[in-house]
Amino acid sequence: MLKFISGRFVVVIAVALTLSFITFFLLNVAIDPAQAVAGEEAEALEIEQVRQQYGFDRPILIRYFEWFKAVLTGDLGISYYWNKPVGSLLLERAPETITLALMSVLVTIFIAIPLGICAAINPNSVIDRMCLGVAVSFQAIPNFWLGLVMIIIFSVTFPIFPVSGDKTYFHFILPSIVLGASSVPPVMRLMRTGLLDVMEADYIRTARSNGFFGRKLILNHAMRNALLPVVSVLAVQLGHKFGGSVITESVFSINGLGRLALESILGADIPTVQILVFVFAFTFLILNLLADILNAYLDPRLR
Amino acid sequence: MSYSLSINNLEISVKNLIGYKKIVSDFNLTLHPGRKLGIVGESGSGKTLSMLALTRLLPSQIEVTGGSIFFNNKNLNNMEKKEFHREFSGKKISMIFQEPMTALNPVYTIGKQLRQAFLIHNKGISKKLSEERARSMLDAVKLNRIEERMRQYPHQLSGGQRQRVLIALALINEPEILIADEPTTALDVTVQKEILELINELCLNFKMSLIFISHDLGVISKVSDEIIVMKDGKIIEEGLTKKILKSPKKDYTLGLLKCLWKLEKGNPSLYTDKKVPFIEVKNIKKEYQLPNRPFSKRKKLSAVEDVSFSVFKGDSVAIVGESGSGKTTIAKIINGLEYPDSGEILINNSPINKIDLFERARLIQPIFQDPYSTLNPNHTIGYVISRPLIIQKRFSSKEIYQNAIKMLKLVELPDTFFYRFPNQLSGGQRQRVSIARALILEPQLLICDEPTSALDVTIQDQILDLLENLKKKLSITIIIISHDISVVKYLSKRILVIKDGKIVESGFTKEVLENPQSSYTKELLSSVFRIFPPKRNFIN
Repeated sequence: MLKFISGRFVVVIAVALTLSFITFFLLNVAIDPAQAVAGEEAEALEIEQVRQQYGFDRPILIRYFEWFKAVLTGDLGISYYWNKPVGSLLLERAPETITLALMSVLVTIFIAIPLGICAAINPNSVIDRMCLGVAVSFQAIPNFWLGLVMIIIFSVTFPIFPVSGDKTYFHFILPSIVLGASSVPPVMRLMRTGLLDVMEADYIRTARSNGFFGRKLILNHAMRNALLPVVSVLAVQLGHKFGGSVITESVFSINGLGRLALESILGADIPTVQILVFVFAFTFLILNLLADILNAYLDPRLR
Repeated sequence: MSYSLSINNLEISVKNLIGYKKIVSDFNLTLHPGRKLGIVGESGSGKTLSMLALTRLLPSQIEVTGGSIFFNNKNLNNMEKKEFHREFSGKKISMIFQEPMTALNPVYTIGKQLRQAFLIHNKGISKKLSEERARSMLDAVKLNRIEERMRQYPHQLSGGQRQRVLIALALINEPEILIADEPTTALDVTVQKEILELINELCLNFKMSLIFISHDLGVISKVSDEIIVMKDGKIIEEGLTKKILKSPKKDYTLGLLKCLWKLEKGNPSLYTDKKVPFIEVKNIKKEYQLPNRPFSKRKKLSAVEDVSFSVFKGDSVAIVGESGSGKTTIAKIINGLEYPDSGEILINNSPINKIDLFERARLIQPIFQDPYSTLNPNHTIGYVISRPLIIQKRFSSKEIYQNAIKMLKLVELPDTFFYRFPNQLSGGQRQRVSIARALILEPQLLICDEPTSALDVTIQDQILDLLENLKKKLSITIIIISHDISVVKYLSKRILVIKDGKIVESGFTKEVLENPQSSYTKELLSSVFRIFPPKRNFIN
């Protein structure tokens, strides 16, 4: 098991390194860093001065290794746009996004898994059709619109939840539901088809012939097998929430990493964007690794 | 302990758009304690369905539409499904199935699965007691290293061991009746023999009666006192096993037996000699890399170790071995689908890797085991058969069409099949199409990898006859790969017995089978259940 994890971890590091180089390269090609620092209306001479001063005239590989060395020592650079160390920016904004992402995945789990099981137990019944209908409509509704409608209903017409902000956990309830709703359909469908497939399996027939039926059959024999694919997808969904909550954060005015990313890109803030891309990618990889470990725990064949 | 089971006029139907279509009718059976009943029939005969109806495990589209099942004067058909599973499944009637590889839950340990199966009918029993019970069952099915087995997962066991665990699972609540549905079909012959002996012994020890389902009369004859023969959803003959094997009343049963007798008699036309070496296999070795794990040494699996043999023109050579012995790897190498790590193969004295691909395709053609997956479902039969000619790019479309029709005739299929699709054909017809496809290039060598293993006995018989006729007509060289010695005996002149990638014995088929030298060949032979034709026999 330890071997398995350490092996996967090496792969994660390798992928993350490659990714950081590609983003560094692309960003420095797409945007002239000297121009970005000097400002849009700067004169050519001014830009040239900045280029000399910041060392942007040196080869890109050397600058990458310098940046990388600094990151390893904990110095993430200084944001051109915010004029603050990128590290402290991250620390400020990360908790909001982490809270939002985790809460929205909890919403997904609590809605999608029970619905999926219900649908699978009564395939092609009214319940099944209704579950699928709910799922499809959730998927079809755009996030920002659902967010606005929820605000109008639950904050304006019936003032139960605050309109926006991120001061207490209470503030996060509406945005989590909005963000979580979008992952309900894929997870629910996977749960449904997974369980349906498992119920056809030979070992379920064996369990039936041994006298298992109803709830015991599902809990003792089918559930764990059906959950295997769901775990992987949930990890991917959680990764998406970390990097992809820009719209929800904007609608509910939550100062998280999503909005930071949006603002930094608009401000051509290379150091911040660079770090953010790396953080998002790394989180994604780590989450996938965790999902693999969890799957290996659930399924002995993978160990 | 006294009970009786009687099934009267059972009728099973499949629900389709129009209504119900009967697939089993007038099924009658009575079973008394300690009796052993065999049900024999080909696939689709309804033998499994009628038993699934008894154990309430029918697939959702299929229903019992008539008749009654009485167990001690209680009509099981009127019982709620839930009640049946609570009162009967595993407790009075247990069932084991064909596929031991997939019939155990992959995510739980053997110990846990046994314990749970015990607890389902014995609520509130302590963990210690249930574990004790699980251990004693593993002991009863003669598994070794029980403590270790309790903690192992199904994928860590072999097929035979898994079938033993499944038997333990089925018997843990001491049922009165055990239904075994082709429990040994997926296993190697030597393992099959052990499992059958175990089932026989457990029936005595547990005072169970047995219903044994199989397509194989040889297997059935070893485990049953009485036999029911089924065909197309009906019982066509029943009686004592001994009687039926000696003098069957129905033509169908006689036909089944004749197929087996014929294999037993062998094939005298095989023994004519021509000594022109056609293929020489010299010292080939092949290792496979096992999936890589980080930080551990790469593991290798040696599939073929230093195998040499030669095949003469017009010869028929059989390669026999159990699964994992490397026989299929050898076939793949000769076919050019795999490359040996070392050693070489000469065809007509030139090395195989020097021969151009088109040229090689005209020399060697394969026939594979599973006719269901070897034909592309999106192409017509005509296209499937003519494809090898189309690829060669030197024939006009008229020539190709004429050739394909000729091939259909050769494998005894009607011309109209040219425009059909594979899913409209039966297994035997599909295998004929694969043979036609292999023969259209007029190859000199056919490599048949288990050509009849996926087919019913009567169909197997027809395909073997076809291959035999083609061999004579086209004077083609054949390498046949099989786990089944009787098939080999019928079709091959010489035999290579292979184990763990090495040839353990070789020679003329007749001599090897009559007087085996190596202990492995002896073991293989003793594991085959043969049915001998009676002295005054029905053939000719």
